[in-house]
Amino acid sequence: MTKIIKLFESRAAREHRFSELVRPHIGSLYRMAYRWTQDRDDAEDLVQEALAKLVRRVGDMERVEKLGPWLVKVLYRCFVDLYRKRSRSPSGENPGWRADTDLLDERIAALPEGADAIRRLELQRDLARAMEGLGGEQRDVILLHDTEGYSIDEVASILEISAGTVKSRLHRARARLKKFLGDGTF
Amino acid sequence: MHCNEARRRLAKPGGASVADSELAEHLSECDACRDYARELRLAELLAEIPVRKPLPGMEERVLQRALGRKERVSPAGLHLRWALATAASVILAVVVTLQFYPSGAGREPAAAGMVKAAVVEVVPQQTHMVNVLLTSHRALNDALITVQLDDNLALHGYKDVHHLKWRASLKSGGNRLSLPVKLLQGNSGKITVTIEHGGKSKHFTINVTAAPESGSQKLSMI
Repeated sequence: MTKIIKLFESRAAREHRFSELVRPHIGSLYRMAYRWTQDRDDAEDLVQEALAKLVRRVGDMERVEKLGPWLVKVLYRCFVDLYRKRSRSPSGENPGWRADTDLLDERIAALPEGADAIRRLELQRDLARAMEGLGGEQRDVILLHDTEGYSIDEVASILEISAGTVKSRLHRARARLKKFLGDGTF
Repeated sequence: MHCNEARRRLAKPGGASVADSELAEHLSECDACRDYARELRLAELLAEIPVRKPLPGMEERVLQRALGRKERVSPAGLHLRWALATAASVILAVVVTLQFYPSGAGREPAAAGMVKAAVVEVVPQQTHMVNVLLTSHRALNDALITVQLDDNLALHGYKDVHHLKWRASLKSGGNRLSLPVKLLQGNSGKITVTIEHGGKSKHFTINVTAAPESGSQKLSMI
């Protein structure tokens, strides 16, 4: 029995269990990391950092009921530590959050002139630019809830704030973003 | 039309018909329903903002790096990132032109292998932002960037770290690498920056020397 336990807890076994646990979530982690960083390389680096912190926590991960939001919570901490705090540092330049509008421009350019989808992409580009003007707290709840579809309770857990605070931030953020949609957009 | 009916039509799958004149008339008169319609539209647009696809093999790559089976890239890539050279905050700038010629494109000019070095004069024990402005004739996806500092130098925020390596995509045109450099000891130090892409590498050096007079900053090219 001891041998079996040792085998189970060997490094190779632990790494296998780790891979099995996280692999289904890497795509959604990348999506969320991209939402926060707006850069493909940074998003990949961020996911790598978050996973590297978890390699030795397989036991903890196996006890988590909803692993997806739990992993995003770890990702968010990495993002704050490695990216957002740095952007406030007096020694670094302060890039803030800048929307990857190049991606939307590329999608628009790829469509035939006059296509209905162009108007939608243009609106999304306007919204993305409008989100640059939101504070990080409001943008976080919009990106997690409205863009990536996490529930109010999940967002509250990820950001370690109350559900009421999530709702009030969402309300204020949506009110600001709605101003960018003209009456003719519905 | 009542508000309940207007909202039912707005919320139905696929959205309301643009030809629904009854609904259009109601919305033109009802602020609350107009706001509701805008909220629905906002939610729909936000939920579908596209994500840039990751580079091929991302899933396996991050997994292997997290497990330590592949060399991890430094999270410094998050901080010392390449950016378009548009900021006006350049303090000391090293301008470098790199040319990565595709295989079979003929002999590379001798000058393309080793780029000129630059000398930067700084005040010891003070952090100076040294911006390396690199122009590339074409986009370089997933280039590997290495920054090596000798013991006399440090990067602000990276105590005792003298070797940084990360991956980044360089855009065609101007790219900027910002290095918050501090001369810790001695009269000079050396920074070597290497960019690897497509099996080829280019490197250049920045010699950091103590400014003869306090407060001065100077840059010259060799």
